Amino acid sequence: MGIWASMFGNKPRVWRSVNDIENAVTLKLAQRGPAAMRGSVQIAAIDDQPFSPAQNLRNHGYNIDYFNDVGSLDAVQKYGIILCDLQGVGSNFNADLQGAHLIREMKRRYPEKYIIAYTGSAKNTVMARLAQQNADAFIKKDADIQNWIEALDAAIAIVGNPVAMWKLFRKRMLDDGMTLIQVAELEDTFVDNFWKGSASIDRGIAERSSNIGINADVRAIIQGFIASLIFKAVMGA
Amino acid sequence: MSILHLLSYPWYLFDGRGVNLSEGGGSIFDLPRGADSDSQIAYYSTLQAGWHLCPMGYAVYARKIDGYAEKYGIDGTLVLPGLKIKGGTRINEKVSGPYLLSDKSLVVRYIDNFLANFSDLGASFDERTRQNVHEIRGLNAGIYHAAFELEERLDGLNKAIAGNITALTQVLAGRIDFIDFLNDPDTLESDLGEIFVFKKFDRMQRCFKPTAIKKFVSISLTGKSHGSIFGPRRLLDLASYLMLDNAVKYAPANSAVSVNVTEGEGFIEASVESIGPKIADDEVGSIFERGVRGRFATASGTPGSGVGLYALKKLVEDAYAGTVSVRVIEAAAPHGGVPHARVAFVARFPRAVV
Repeated sequence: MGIWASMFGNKPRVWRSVNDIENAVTLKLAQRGPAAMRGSVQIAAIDDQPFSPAQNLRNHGYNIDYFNDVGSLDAVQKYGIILCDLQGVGSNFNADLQGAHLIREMKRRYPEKYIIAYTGSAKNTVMARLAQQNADAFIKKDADIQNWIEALDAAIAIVGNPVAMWKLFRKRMLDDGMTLIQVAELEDTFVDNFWKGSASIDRGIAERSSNIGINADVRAIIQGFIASLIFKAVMGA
Repeated sequence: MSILHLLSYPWYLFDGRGVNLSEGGGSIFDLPRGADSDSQIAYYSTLQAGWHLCPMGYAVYARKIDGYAEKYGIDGTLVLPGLKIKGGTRINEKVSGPYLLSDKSLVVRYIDNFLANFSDLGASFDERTRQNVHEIRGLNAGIYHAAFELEERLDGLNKAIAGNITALTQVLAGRIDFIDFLNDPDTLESDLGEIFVFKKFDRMQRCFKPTAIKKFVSISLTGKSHGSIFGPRRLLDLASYLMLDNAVKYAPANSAVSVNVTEGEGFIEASVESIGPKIADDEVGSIFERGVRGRFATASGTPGSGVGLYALKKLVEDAYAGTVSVRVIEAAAPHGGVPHARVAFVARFPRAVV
């Protein structure tokens, strides 16, 4: 158990951290196995052509919704994993860079989402480079089913792990200017309520963030993140 | 054929050591008599970029060309000899054929425009190639997934046929990767990760089985390796494709292709052994150079571009810090009058540090 002495007051405060629960979470996820987690993560596939792997992947337990394009970034809010073609999509956002630009914008808006560039070929090297800089992974359109399973299971192992996701979000909070103490307070609350379920985490975070001076807009972002976490795989059905 | 053959002026191309790589007569203008003598060519091979006056009294323009080597095979010093330039030539004799008394700035502008247009054409061709690759991959994916779904639903011979289709789509995917790699090697270098070499070669030899069976060629996989390497995942698919494609393509009927993957202290080694057109002793050192095909491979009549082994060596060395070599094992019976031999192509990769 990590113990930090409080900077204020005489009694040392015991701070909870995700490190305290990480092993237990990892064990629970390993016991369930990757195949059992597949259905718990929603996946969006964005491709101007019909998404040919869809049926085979659903047969393997993946939960996939198909879009031939997206008009706004709100359309992908509820998805933990996004497969995005490089060409023929995202022209509303940038006609030259298309899918590569869309990937960058989705990553900026939703840094914790796992985005896989699903590609036949890039239209030009600028598009390819942009996708390389922003996507979390790549898969060829004509990859075999085993490659698809490996890529998606690797993504689900991250997105379906609330501790891994909290660590990504923690970094984002610090990069966005929250103080170390504020982040530590939120993490303490997160861990304290973790095994009680997402509703308890949500209430605890809302209360604590209000007490430590986090404004309403940032609170909404934090609570949106908590709502997106997948606890089912850890807590069971 | 080099794009330089479109130049209006006669030309020579020398590498950094002064070796004559290629030459061409101009599409409009001829070389003056004597300007192509051995002594003149030896003079041209020493020139640095800029304007010169040759021993015969003609102006010579030399221009360093770089940045075109990987894609278009042009790299070195371009020399335009035998030019009559206002104030820059000592020659008074008449020359045969079309004749132009030019000045330096026009010649330089001509070469600038030629290279710029060539570059633009190349970029335009590249973009069209990428678009075609994109479309073909999409179609290939459609065929693969339809055949895979069918394979899951069928039994017996029909299941096997559906399985052959999925295998062939993966061979096609490998071919498309090859086109992608030649077009832009860097774009396949994304997606770094741990790679199990045995698994990759196992998958690729299964994909080639339908093609091999049609030729009455058997493929087998031996060896043992649980280790991994680190690098671009997609490029190892391409490496295994190139090694197997080369072997199966040249294998005569009723022969065997043997794939072996083993590991040792700090390395994993994949070899593909097969019978194919003999590699002559004087060719073993150059077989991995771009554009080089063994003379017996050419004589066999099997089509080839001399790029596959070059690409294999390049990607193994650049992406994985590995090595590629060829070992001629023993002579084999000739086929179609062409000498054959059993050879092994070997790719060795440094193991990932765990």
